[in-house]
Amino acid sequence: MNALTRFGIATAATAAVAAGAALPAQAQTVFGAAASSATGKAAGTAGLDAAKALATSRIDGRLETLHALELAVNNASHLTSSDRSALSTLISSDISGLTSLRGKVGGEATVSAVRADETTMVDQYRVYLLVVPKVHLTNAFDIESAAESTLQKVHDALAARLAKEPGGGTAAEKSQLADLQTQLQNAQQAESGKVSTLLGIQPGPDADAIHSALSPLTAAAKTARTDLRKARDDAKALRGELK
Amino acid sequence: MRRATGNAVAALVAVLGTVALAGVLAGCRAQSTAAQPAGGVTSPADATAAAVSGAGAPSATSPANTGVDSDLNSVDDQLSGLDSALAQATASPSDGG
Repeated sequence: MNALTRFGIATAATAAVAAGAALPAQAQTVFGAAASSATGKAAGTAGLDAAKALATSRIDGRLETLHALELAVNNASHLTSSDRSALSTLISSDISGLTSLRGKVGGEATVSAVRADETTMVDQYRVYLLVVPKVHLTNAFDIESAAESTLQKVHDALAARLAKEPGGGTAAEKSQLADLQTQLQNAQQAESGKVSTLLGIQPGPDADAIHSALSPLTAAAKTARTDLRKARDDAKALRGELK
Repeated sequence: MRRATGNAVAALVAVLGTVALAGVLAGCRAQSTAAQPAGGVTSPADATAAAVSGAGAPSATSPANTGVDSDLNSVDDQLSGLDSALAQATASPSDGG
């Protein structure tokens, strides 16, 4: 089980814990509202405490995810040094900011102030919507770049082998070699420059805009993956014929 | 009498010497054969013949193919990691984003 897989499990577990914490908190809110007509100030305090507990739980879920991402970035073997540095800086900054926000929530005197902190927690960080895809898509693009280099090496070795065959190989073999190169070029074209675009997306209140910015990048990574699979299949077929 | 005995002893020594020399030579040859890797070529002449006949041509495990096979295994690992990364990129919990 690699670090990124462990990250997925950690994230799912964190979400489950956060959801579990949220439900009793919401129940307390309902209970507190019902009791407020009878107890006034005590009910208001209970509502504030419940709001704080919920907000703190949601922040904790994000902090757990960020710590898991931190490990994933450290263990990802194909990340370039600059991408690793950019992601580590982003994650550290978010951990610092959300930790401070967690303390601020604990000191709030009103429910509306807690709600405002939750808005900040979402809009200024976008941990789930943006940071998680940033880490995994950056890793995906860097893996694709590494696979392109490896497959180019395979292409060159197979081309040298084919050149020694009578007539430079059969028509089918030449076609496979040409397609291997074409698929590699397609993959490079699909993923080239995408990491800088991805890392440039900023968090904000407009979730749809973030979705729209991420969507073509995810599609590009998947296109490159398809091209690389075809290139790999070409290389294996040609390798099999050149035994 | 003494001369006849001397001749007999000389003949016996000669026979024993020949037998001993043959034994040593046989031992050396057996050792040489055993030192060759299984399926290996046992003499320069054999090596030349093998080269001419093409017996040393690339097989499924030739060095050239070994490098390609190793790289293709690496690509398989990379594509597996890519699948995992793409799956996780689109499987984040929401909780408001």
